[in-house]
Amino acid sequence: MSIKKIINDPNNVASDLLDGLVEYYNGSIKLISPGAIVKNNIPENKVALLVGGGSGHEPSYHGYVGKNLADGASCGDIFAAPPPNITLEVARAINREKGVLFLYGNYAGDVLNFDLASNLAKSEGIDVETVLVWDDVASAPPDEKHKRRGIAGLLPIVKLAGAASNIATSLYELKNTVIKARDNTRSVGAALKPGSIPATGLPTFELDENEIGLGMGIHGEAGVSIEQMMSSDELTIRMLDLIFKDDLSLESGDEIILLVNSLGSTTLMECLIVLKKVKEILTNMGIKLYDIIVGPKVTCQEMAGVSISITKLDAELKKYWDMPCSSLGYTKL
Amino acid sequence: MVDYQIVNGMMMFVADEVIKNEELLSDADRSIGDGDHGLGMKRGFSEVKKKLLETNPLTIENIFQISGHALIASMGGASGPIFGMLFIKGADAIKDCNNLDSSSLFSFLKGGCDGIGVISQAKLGDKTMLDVLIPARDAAKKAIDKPLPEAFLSVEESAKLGVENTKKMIAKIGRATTLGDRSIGHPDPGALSLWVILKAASEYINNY
Repeated sequence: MSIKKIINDPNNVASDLLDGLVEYYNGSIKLISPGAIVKNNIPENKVALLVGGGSGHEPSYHGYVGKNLADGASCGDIFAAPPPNITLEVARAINREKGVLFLYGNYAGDVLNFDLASNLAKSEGIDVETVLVWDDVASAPPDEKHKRRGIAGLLPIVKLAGAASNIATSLYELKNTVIKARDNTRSVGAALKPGSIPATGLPTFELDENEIGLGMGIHGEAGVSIEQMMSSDELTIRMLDLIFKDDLSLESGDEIILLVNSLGSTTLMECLIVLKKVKEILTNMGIKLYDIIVGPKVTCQEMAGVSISITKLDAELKKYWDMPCSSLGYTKL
Repeated sequence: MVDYQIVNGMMMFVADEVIKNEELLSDADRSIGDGDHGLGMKRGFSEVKKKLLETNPLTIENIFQISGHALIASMGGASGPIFGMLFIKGADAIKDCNNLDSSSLFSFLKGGCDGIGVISQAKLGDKTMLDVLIPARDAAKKAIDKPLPEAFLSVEESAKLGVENTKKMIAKIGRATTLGDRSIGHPDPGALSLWVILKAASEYINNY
């Protein structure tokens, strides 16, 4: 059964949504060519931050261009990594002689296309470094992080990277800070229902009425296991256990950023119920929630499910977290 | 003689066949990926047609170069660079070729294989399009002394077998990796696409 959507030409969804995005920003960003989003008024000598990926995961990734966030976004078609020429155009437009950091989720298609773009940019004399987001603990064991997917942990990492990019004096310095933010972030997801591809109206994967995909990816990639439906509290315990079992040490006295993310159609009500349990468990462990984000931040259309992301802070990261920022996807006063 | 005009006709026919098979390719991807592979291929080969009509290339090498760049620039996803590289590196391997013969078919497929090896870590048996490309290259090598139509038929046959073989494999690279055993029984969508391409090319060369 195909899904009802409020769209025009189903093949133009990605380009239509970017036109809307530019209108939302009301003059602070521009679309320099199809798929290429660039912030206006990037200061001279700033180390530039570029995010990107397939469209259809709004507000990721283009919704994180903004004040003290990313300087530009390279946007592909629905669920498809952007071709290298789009990324190259964004890199050219946001480079202020200090180089560009590419920050995106670790998916085979993204890596191939961004690496081609990185080579093209370097051949034009633009410095490029890359940090891959690989926060999904369910997608590969800890000693194979390079095989892990990037999911909602992207948001706290981009928030920290955006703040750091305003202070960093070199691309190298920014890269090191962003690697630390990435290495301090872990996420895990759970899927209840698939999203659909706007152009076909067909679901991206199948899951029975009574099933939960524990650790399932945002495109329906397999996770840890398929479980029977369970209560929010039970699910939250199962999900947090996967994070605790991983190699990020979390001890009494640690301070973290918590993100409870809806994958699309899961309501804020449900996210808040998850949040309550997460808070209870972490508080019992003596872990302090320095800041909390809740809501649909990295989505897959009307996919139902949640993900939990934890970013452990140190003094440097805390300083970057405290900086205000604003964008469609995340604003901090 | 298979000159640039025939190769141009062949590429236009290949593009039409890929576009026609959008649903088949997307359905295959829905089983082990997210179901958009056919849409990406359709987007890429529509751009191939557009660019070939706009630029009107006069050499075989140029036809493949333009096709490869059109795929990379329009498709995105993992398939864009991989299928783009097949044509670009394939073209590099047959510079100054005025007549597509069995020897240049082999050189093209070998060049494409080597080019993809540089950007991807995939190996034979990882359940990717290489499981069609490598046997197709080897079939072309065996048929290097045969006339081109015959060589294409054996390339197509090995490609078809390659697709069948991917059904038995567990995905080792890309998004389907996390499916583990559950990827068994389904063909790899990229392998299926390459078979569609080689089958269409063979059909054109055997019937023009």
